[in-house]
Amino acid sequence: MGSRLTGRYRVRVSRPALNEARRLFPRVSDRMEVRRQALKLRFWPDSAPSTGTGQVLDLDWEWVKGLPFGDVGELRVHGTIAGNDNLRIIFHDGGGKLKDPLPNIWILRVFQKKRDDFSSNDLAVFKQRRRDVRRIFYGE
Amino acid sequence: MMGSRVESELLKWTKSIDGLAVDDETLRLFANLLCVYLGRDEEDQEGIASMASIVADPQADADEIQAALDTLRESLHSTAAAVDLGSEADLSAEERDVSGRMDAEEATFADRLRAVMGEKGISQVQLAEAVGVGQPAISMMLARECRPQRRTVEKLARALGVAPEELWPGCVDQFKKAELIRS
Repeated sequence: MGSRLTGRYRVRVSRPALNEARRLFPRVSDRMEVRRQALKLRFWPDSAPSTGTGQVLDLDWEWVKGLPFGDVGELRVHGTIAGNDNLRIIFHDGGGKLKDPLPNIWILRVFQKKRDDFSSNDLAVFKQRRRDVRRIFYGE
Repeated sequence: MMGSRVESELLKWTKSIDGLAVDDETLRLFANLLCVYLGRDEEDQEGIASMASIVADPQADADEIQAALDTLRESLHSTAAAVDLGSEADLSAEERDVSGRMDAEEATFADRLRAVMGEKGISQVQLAEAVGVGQPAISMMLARECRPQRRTVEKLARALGVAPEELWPGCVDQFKKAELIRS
């Protein structure tokens, strides 16, 4: 499960998400474990995204409620990695505007969810990171 | 020329603003960043301002503040850079080594899963239903394209009536280690 060009999406990580993953998982083996889980996004979604929830292989995902875009989702990683449970990967479906050759799916944030619901600050961070991806890579 | 009280007041004025430590260097940095901010469109400015509000919010927790700082740094950048997660070209030697070990683990798991499915006469569709995933997930595991989560290994083992160790050697030790780190 490495560099082979399989799946429907190219999975890319924004710099803030990469930075927080390195902070959260200082050990290479843990980081690589999270990487393998995140790479399942290449096959997102198993079912139609219009349902707003579903599975990517053996991971659960759901659109983030509270954001108006309908293209920012939450991927849930079960179990514990490096002492962190309730791991969440927030992703953005970049859509078909940029294909090289596959459309891009962007990892915006990697973190340990400590509350049932996202706080208004969490949502503001997701929104701004999505904005930065759209500005930097899509020229919007 | 000046009284010591005035000199003291001036010194304080050059080192802080309303109680915040701000020397000339910090103020120069602020001026540069402010120019970047003013060069952005209204939507960007609004986003940058919202991140600054989180950083300054006494009610925000440490995770929120760090996330806002990381976001602010990106928002002020004009250059494009992102990592292609699927590319192994940028991996370090250590990361490639770990990746190779993971490939081997997944290959062993796929071989064992296929063997037990054959022994028990269970199809991919039946196993997928029992575990609560789609059939493509089982197919991808057998093709070494899907590294199962710990929970999935446990569910597969239960559905097949075998110990998790039979599918993923060493997994019990790995799970216990993960729990120990957590506790």
